[in-house]
Amino acid sequence: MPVYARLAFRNIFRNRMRTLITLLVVGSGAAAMIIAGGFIVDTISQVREMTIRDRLGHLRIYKNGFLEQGVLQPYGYMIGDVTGLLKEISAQPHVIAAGPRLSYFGLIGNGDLTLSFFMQAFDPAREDRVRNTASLVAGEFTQPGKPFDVMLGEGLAKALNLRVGDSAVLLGNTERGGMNAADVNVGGIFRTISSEFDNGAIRAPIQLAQRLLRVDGAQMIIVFLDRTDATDGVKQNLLRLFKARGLDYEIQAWHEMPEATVITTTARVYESIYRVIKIILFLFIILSIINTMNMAVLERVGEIGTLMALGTQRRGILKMFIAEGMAIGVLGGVAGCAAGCLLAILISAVGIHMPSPPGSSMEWIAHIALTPGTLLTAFAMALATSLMASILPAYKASRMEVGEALRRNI
Amino acid sequence: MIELSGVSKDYLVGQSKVHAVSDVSFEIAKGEFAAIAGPSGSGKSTLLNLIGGIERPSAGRLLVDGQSIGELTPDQSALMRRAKMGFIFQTFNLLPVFTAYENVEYPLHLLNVPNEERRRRVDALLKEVGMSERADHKPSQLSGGQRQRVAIARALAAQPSVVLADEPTANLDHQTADEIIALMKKLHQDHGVTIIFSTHDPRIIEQANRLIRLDSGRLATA
Repeated sequence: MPVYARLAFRNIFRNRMRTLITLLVVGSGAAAMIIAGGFIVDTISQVREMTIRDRLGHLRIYKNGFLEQGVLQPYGYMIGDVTGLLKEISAQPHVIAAGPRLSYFGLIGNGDLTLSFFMQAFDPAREDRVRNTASLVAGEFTQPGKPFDVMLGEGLAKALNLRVGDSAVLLGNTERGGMNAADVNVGGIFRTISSEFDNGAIRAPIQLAQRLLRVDGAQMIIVFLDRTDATDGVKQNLLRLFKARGLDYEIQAWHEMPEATVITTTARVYESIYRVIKIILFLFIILSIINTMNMAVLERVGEIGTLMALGTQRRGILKMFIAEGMAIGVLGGVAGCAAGCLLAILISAVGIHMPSPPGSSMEWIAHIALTPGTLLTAFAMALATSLMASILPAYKASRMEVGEALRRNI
Repeated sequence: MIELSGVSKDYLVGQSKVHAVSDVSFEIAKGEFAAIAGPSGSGKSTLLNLIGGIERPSAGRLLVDGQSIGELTPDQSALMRRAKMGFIFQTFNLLPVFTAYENVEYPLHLLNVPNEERRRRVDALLKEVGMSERADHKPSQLSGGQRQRVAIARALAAQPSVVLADEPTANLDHQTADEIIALMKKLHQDHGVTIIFSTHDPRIIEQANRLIRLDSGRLATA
């Protein structure tokens, strides 16, 4: 070990109580950073995953032109027989479910009251693997063998005063512009992260929607993956596959969907909070330990004089005190990261019961995500704050007059 | 080897100027065992600090081996001390977190002396000053006399041409002070190093083969 580093390391343990307090401050800051960062990463991740699972899907495959013209001609870009295509899509790595989807706006009545709705029609057998059990408020999920059982969003069911087992009538515009109706049973009631969605959404078997609208096929194929970070890779693979098959399809990844703004907005808000927390912790640690670093210089003025008298140059003194700051940063960072990880595991084991966020009626259990990013940020902060807190005292020490410093030796 | 010509050192204390050393001129040849004597406050320590490049003269010329000390920057001055000078202090000034061995070794680190050579020199010096048995002891575990022996070994580690000792026996009892002066004298003879020390103790002054007397910062006429 270089002599300055050895001297710095020994000096750290000279005043053990003071060093312990400094390490506690640095370590607590790093641990707090891990907890705050881990909570935010988990929150963003949960919002993203819930939104993707309940509403968006990871990928949506449309006939080319649907994204531009679909609003005007919702049935003009139908995908016909999807069985073969679904087989090939499902064979792709990371794909855990793929199924046809049909969406439309219609009216639902309970005999007294009629309200508009937005329907997500899907194949329950194909999406069985990705259904979100946490979203079921009452009844059961849409079943393959019950083509007239629909699920209502919690808000819509409440507005229509419909319960599981009740009947309702769905009205929709057929492809040719006529009206059609279907009697349905309320099989279940669901809740997603978005109250706005739950206030007007119905989930139903795709056969029911096809019958009501008098259309064949689907408007899109929705694809669910086992890992969200694989989305863009799978999208590229599918585009290559379609090109090879000569299929004229376009693909929208979840982050390209207009509805994904709820995820990006949430992420932006939480990331801003995280930034503020980082700044506060940064200042807190620096202000807490700068005094300790100053004391370490002041009480060693005589020694600094001796070192200089023996021929240590100014940069040697600077190196020594910066090495001390760095050692405190490394020790505090490692201890803080270890404590932060332990706390994160403990908190995650219990879970933090969170109230429903604005625009949602869904309560959720938050955890502390341990990611390399949050660990690295916490460690880097411990190191940076300790280093920064040591720079000024180290500079002051290195600029001392040798004779003056020696006179203060006791 | 050391040449002072009209050297003065003034300090500002508040608004008033204090003349610590005034117009001092003398020469010290290589290999001398010289004492700077005088009462407390006569400027002995300041004069040693000036010779060692620890302080810069306010006026005059001070040459060590032909090099003008007053013109060196703080870092150049540190390099000069590292290569040419050894220091012994009244309060020993050992680094408390280092062992006796590491204290003696420190100046050799500054000179980038290789490991093996470093070990050889430190072992030999600790043996010479009678501290081999306590090489692993920290200064707090040593007596005053033992600390000063370690400090003497440290001062000689870099094989300097001059050792400056500021009242090296002031904090020691008579017997230990005699032992330390005897040791310094022996090392002076064995190593051929120039030793300049300050003292106000008449018994120690007798041991010097050259005496420079100071009174109120000026050379005193005998």
